[in-house]
Amino acid sequence: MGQDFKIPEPIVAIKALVRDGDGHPKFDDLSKIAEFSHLLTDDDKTYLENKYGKGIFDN
Amino acid sequence: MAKEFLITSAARSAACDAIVDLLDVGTGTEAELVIANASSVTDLVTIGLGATAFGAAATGVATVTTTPATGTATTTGTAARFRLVDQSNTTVAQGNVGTTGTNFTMSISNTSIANNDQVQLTAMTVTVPAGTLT
Repeated sequence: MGQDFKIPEPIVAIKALVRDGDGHPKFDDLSKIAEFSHLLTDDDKTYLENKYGKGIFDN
Repeated sequence: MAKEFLITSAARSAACDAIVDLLDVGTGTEAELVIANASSVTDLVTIGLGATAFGAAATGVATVTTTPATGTATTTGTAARFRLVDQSNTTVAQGNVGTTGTNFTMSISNTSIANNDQVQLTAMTVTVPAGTLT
């Protein structure tokens, strides 16, 4: 008699970008900016550079 | 020797569709992604997923139909949990929300959500893995 096997567990992956009441993107971990960068407009990037510094998109 | 078990691509897709299609039933018009606080008592924001929440699965992966889908926060709080509910608001699946590390099912840019913030769902997939057979 063989051993029991386990069906692999489903994997769920969800991403969401938060914007404040003025429409600006909100990040509480700056390392996450790269993960969402493809969703950011030029205005978003200018806003984030003004807030966190010009090098925020260098990496 | 490790246990081995391999699911075919067709079976993976069928299992995946069986899960996500549960979202498309009920008396309302669309399934929803609900983001809540740590105790899941307070719902912070609800994002509609449309009448057909996910497309048909391929190679065991189903992808949400509409992105970005946006919801407006109705209260202020710290996002920690999410629920996927069907069109009758019955929970089909739930998980955790966070910003850092790999221990969160839902990755969000900021867990501090204020009233009237906009939360854009940018990606969601459900995967039934194949398993292994050497």
